[in-house]
Amino acid sequence: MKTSVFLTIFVLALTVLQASQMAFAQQPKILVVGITSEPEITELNPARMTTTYYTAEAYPNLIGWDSDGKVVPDLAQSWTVSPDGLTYTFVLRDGLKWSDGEPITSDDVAFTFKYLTEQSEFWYYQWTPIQVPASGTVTGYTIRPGAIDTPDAKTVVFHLQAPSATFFIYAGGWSVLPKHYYQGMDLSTQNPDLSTYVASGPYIPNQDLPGDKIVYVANPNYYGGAPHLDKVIFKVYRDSTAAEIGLESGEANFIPNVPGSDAAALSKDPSIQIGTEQDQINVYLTFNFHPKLAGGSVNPVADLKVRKAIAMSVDLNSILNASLAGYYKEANQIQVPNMYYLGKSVTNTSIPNPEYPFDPQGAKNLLDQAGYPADAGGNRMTLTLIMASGGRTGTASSIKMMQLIQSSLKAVGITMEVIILDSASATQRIRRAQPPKDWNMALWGISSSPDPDVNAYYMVSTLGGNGGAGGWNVGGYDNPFVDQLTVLGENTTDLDQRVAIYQRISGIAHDEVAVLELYYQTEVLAWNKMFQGFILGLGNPMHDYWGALKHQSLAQVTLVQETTTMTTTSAPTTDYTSIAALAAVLVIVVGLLAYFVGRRSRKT
Amino acid sequence: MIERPGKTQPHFRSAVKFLRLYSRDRSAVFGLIFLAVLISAASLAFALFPVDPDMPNLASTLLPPSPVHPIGTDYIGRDQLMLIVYGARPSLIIAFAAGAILALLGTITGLVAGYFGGRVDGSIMRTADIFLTIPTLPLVLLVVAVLGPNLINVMLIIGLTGWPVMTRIVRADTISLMKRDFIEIEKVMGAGIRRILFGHLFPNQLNSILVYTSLSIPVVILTEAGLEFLGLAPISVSWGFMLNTSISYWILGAWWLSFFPGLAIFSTALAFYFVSDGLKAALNPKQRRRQESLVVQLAERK
Amino acid sequence: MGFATYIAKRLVTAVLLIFVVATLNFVIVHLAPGGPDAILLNNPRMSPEARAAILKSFGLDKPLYEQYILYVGGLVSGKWGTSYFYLTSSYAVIAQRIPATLALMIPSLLLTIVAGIFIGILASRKPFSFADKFLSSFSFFFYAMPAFWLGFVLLTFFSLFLGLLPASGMISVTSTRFELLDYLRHLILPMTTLTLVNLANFSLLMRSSLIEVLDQNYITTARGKGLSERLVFYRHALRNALLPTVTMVGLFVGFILTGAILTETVFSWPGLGLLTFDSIFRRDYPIILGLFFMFSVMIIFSNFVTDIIYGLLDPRITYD
Repeated sequence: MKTSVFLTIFVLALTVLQASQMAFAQQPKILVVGITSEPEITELNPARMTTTYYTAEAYPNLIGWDSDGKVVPDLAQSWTVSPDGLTYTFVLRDGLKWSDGEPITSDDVAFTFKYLTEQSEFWYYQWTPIQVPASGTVTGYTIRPGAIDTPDAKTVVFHLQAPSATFFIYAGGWSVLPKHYYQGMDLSTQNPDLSTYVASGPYIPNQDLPGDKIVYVANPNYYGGAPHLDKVIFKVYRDSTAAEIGLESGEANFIPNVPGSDAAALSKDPSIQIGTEQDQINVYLTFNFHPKLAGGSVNPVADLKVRKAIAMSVDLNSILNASLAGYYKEANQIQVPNMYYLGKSVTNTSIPNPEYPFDPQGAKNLLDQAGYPADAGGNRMTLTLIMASGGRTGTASSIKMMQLIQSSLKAVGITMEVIILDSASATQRIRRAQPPKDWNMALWGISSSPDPDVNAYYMVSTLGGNGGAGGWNVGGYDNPFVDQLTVLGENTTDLDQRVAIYQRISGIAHDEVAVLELYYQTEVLAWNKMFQGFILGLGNPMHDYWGALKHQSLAQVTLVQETTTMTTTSAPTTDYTSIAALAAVLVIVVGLLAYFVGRRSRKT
Repeated sequence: MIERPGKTQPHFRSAVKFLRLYSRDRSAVFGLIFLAVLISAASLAFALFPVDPDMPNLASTLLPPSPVHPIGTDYIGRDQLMLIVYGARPSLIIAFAAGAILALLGTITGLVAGYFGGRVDGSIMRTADIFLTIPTLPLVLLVVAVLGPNLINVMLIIGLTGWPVMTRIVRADTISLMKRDFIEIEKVMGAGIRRILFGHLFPNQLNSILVYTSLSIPVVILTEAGLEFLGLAPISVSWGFMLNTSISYWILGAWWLSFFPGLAIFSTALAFYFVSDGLKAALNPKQRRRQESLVVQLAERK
Repeated sequence: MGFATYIAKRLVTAVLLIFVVATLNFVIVHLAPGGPDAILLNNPRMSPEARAAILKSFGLDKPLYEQYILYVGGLVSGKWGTSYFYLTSSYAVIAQRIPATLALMIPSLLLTIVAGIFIGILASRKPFSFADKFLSSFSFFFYAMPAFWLGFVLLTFFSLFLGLLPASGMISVTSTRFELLDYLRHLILPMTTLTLVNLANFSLLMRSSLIEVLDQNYITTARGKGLSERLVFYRHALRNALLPTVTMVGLFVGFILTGAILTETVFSWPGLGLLTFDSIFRRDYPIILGLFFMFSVMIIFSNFVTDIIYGLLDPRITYD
């Protein structure tokens, strides 16, 4: 009797599950973007955000970039620069409106610049340029234009104190904020209220459930025309695997940040489309340049010969291929490949690629010369490498990469211990610890900005406290000549001169193996083919993230195939053999149970 | 009846008797065999697999189980069976070390609390209560995160959060032993604290202590695996860490990467439970104690 | 000494305990290398003025003892500081997550108790029989299993291979209101994981108390009197055997919290466990301190209630 009760319940449960699954209708026209880390609450706060992941959809800028990297109009339809380089004039399009119907005017633009500058105590906008006055010493981070005029509702004029090589790029790339919404709001102590949020993009944030999702709703006032979907939801997943599960099961429709090694598996699914964008992220191994480590032991990598030997011990391309499944660009210098100044590339073409030849014997010779002969067991030295799990430098692929490098170094007699720490511990030890620090190498990375100055300034200069504790130049690479060049680069506006300066810096960094370049990140995106219209690589590849989700692209996205089931065509069709097997196992188990329980016996 | 001084329990006096009692429980025997095999394999790891466990083999990454690789290969081509055997070491080391720490701490505090009674007892038990009321995993997580993830910290922390249960048990035993006549006699004869504590109280509880230590080891194993899984105990060849990295390769269908390390953790924990059950039956065959059921001990521990 | 004094004493101890635990947490947090403010100042482009201003806004520029006093006072009054990550009141963030955890904990607890008692009864019918061994092993089997592994296996099987159940979250991403069926579908896997892993606590205890009770004289007497087996069992044996089981519920809160962290992480259930995990990784100390305070209050309180119930139910307990 009990068996049949159990069985009935079980069958009923299965039926209900199936029925509920089919009855469950996905609300039409919602794009679910699966993100793999919870966005900081400040990402929606224009004065405090450090990336544009979440505002690029909501706030168009004055100018934009198309997928070829060329500057195109955005909110501004035209612009002029005075011959002396001190006056920039932007003219806005006609008929621009905010999401609440108010017109977008030059007042808003002027307000934005003044407002963000005022809030600058807390303002670490991703690409704030470094202002270097004639004296040569770096003082502050923001450019403060002399004055901003608004002669009429559509025209904005910026007067600069001195010609700037970078103003146009940066200014054009700032989000234009609504004056009537932000006026009076102190963004240093509060975040904007999402339920009353005012913006101008096709989708604007409306609701934020911490740890869960951010909901964007359509804005019919977008200047490019009303968008085609009702909502865009950014759903937080624990990691990329969870996001991929979400995509495969139909819960998520678009996932950026797919690890290269998973792309092949995902593309086997006929309903999933894979695309790539070239990021501006440069991933590298940084060296500790102090002659002695924190414990007092000698630091071998402070010696140039040792660094060169390390560079020659690794067959970089095959290691990268094994870890990233081909989705990368091999790196050979500190500037990312598509870095331009006024249209001219700053790539130093005389630096070979690969940077150093794969030559283990040559590496061994160098190590011998440097005074690190192999002992009886073949070991020459022991090094420590620290990496963070998660974050910009990825996890599984990075771990694999480091382990492959570890074995390459073993082959030339270097024992490298790989220490994997959680993000906060890693940051503490790599960046915030007091020099000389307790590691020889660290896996590190940087994302560029629209201008070559960032990589030079942050990676290899010691200016502004960036060398040593707390700074991005975590190894403490100290070259006064490079510092001078960096300062010069900030102050030069002449096209050829400036490009030459940055090429020189790249060359020096290469000659001295200031860092061991690994790769330039290629971002893999995957989405459900039901959603069409993504434009990949949009936005200045130098300073926009998720080009495919920038407002120009997102506005184009349509849902081509309505579906009424929760699990879409991408989900594996219910595997009936597995269910049958499972049911059989359960029946047997339950039957056994019932058999043994059904036997009543008197207690003696 | 006046009891004679000296040991009152027949423990290990007859090894044969112990073995006989122990082997009545079949699962305990299996558990013991499993652990013996595991420990010997772990110690002889290098002899069994004379390769560097860190050495990758890019030609054979992510191979499913086959005769050549009985449980497959991992993402850099290393044989998983080798990894499981090498990975047993950190797990076993931490298990035994943390177990020893908490046994030591628990025994000493329990003896002291039971012997001195009064305020000393009170303060020790209050401290124990503090540790019992803080949920273990969050506390361990926090301390390891704050103080840095390394082997020593993990061992210490798990051991330091686990002593209260042992304390309670040893204290209860001590109190009941203290009431026995032979202790009174010792006191009258002028025996010092040390003699009473180490000469009488402690040896008589050796059995219980052993049983409860072996009982807490599975929890140590699970906690440590949990820590590594969450990413806070970076030992590159260990079961928990294998589970951690296996998730990223799951979409490629490499189920063996997560299945076997999990199975290893689980089987080891289970084996320890069975062994402690057997030990209990073999060492305290006559003792009846209120609420001696295994699960209450589990409950208080976890 | 009467019952009232017993309660009072227990209450005072409980409060003191909470206080000590809170202090301990404060100490641990401030032992962090780089200090509790380390994570706030991560941005390399922050100017020294901005740095100082941020520290000031979080009250981290005050001397340690002052911070401590504010902390303790704040705990009681509900001002648990400002979260470093969310930049709003920690209390608000934590409070917002409580319903989700309860929505997972309560059904799991109920199912564990019911299933545990049921299995315990079944197992005690014929002690040491195959059925008994099977059921006990079954409970034990899952007890020794790492919760996250079990959760992941279930997730893989039911969500990916079979496509029957959703892979994460509490309700569908796209739904705007709470729908019962949707919630239930999402609940099944995490609840099953939590239940299976904690089953042994109840089933084995139920089993052993039942066996012990059924052995007692008064049961034999009742049978001798001619009462039916069913009556004997349910009216006498079960009631008495339930006592220790009931008191177990109090201790149970602690297990569920631990289990919740692991399970919520695997299934992305947006509750306190996930918040604990995330906050620890982010070094969001105001939230961590608030959470730990809450956990210890919950555990101490449930221990307190257990003590009271036990004291009430079992007249053999002496109040001292």
